[in-house]
Amino acid sequence: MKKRLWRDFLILLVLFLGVWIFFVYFPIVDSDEVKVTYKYKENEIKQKLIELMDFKQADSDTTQLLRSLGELKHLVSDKDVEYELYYSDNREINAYALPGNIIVLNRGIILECDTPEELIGVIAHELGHLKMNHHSDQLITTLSIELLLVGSGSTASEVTKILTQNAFSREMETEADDYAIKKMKELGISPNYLAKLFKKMYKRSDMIPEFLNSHPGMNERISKFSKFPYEESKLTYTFDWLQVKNSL
Amino acid sequence: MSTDYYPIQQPEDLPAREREDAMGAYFMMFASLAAGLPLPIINLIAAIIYYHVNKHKSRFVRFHSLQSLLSQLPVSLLNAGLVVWAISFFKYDFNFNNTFLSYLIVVILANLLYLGFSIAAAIKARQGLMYYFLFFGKLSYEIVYKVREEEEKIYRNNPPI
Ligand SMILES: [Zn+2]
Repeated sequence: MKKRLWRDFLILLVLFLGVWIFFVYFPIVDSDEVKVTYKYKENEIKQKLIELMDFKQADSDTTQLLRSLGELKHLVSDKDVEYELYYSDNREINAYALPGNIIVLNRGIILECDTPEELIGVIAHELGHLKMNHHSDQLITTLSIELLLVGSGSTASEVTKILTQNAFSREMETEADDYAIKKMKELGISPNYLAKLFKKMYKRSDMIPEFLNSHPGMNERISKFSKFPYEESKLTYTFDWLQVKNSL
Repeated sequence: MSTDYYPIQQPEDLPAREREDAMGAYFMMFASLAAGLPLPIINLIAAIIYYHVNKHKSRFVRFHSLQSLLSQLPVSLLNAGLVVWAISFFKYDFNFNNTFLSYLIVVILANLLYLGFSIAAAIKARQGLMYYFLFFGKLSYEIVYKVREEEEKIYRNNPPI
């Protein structure tokens, strides 16, 4: 009797593991297809996000600010990443890279930049996140659920919370910084410009934005960018930066 | 060493009341399985309580209750695994891979099998019949019908060996 019990137990166990392993090797649902479905929904999510958060697209001719940001966007380009640049009327000193190849600049960070070169550095850093696909599937999923399922009920502050809670890892930040350095050099801008911006942000210890918090130790970061000697950039713009900032 | 078993009751010896109790064991387990889906510990406790309530009724009722309880254990565990795995998606990374999908299939199959066999067993129990699941049937029989030394054997007269 004992033997037969064991035999039956083994039959059940083999049956269970067998079915499991069988489906692992002969899947009935292709998990890549599931990812494709998410990608397909990405556009819809993007539109809802922009609408809800009231992001203004750079490049449109409506205001001096958006025109100027459009000019900066054209400078910071990457053949592999087709991104969109947006402005958000938010006082927080912050910038975001969002799924769907979106970069958002807050009013706060624009006001903090004394020169357009500093802002170019910020855009380049965020572009680095996009280029290296730093977004977790989790962020995309959470955003999708919030914007597609919860839908009309979600508020801008809830979405902002999701965005700020899903910070990048330290390694990702280092990668994005390295990308920004490379990009700035390409444009003939000394990475030292970003060091200046970081120092200003560091002084405002009361505000620790996403752009700084999960990041490699701030001192480490400042010294990394300070290694590059300061040289005034030779770039010229069709706008006057001070005037643009005053319009905010 | 020979082992003795209590005789299995035949349908004509079983009053309707006992048949219904035996049938109820299976239906009770479904209900608790469904209720306990988010937290499988709940239905486990419910199942154990039901078994203990019916333990002192006839061996027929006890057998069916125990078979139902034991066969529910692995199904509950599988369901619990699924719940934990699904929650981890939201806490960590959304990794919708094949290992998970096939586990999902296995869990669904296990639940369907459990449901199907339990319904069959419930119908048989109502008719006053035994119904043995693979493994769990034998195990329950062993536990319920085996004569334990300390209980009765001492009172038995055996022929000389
Ligand atoms: Zn960053």
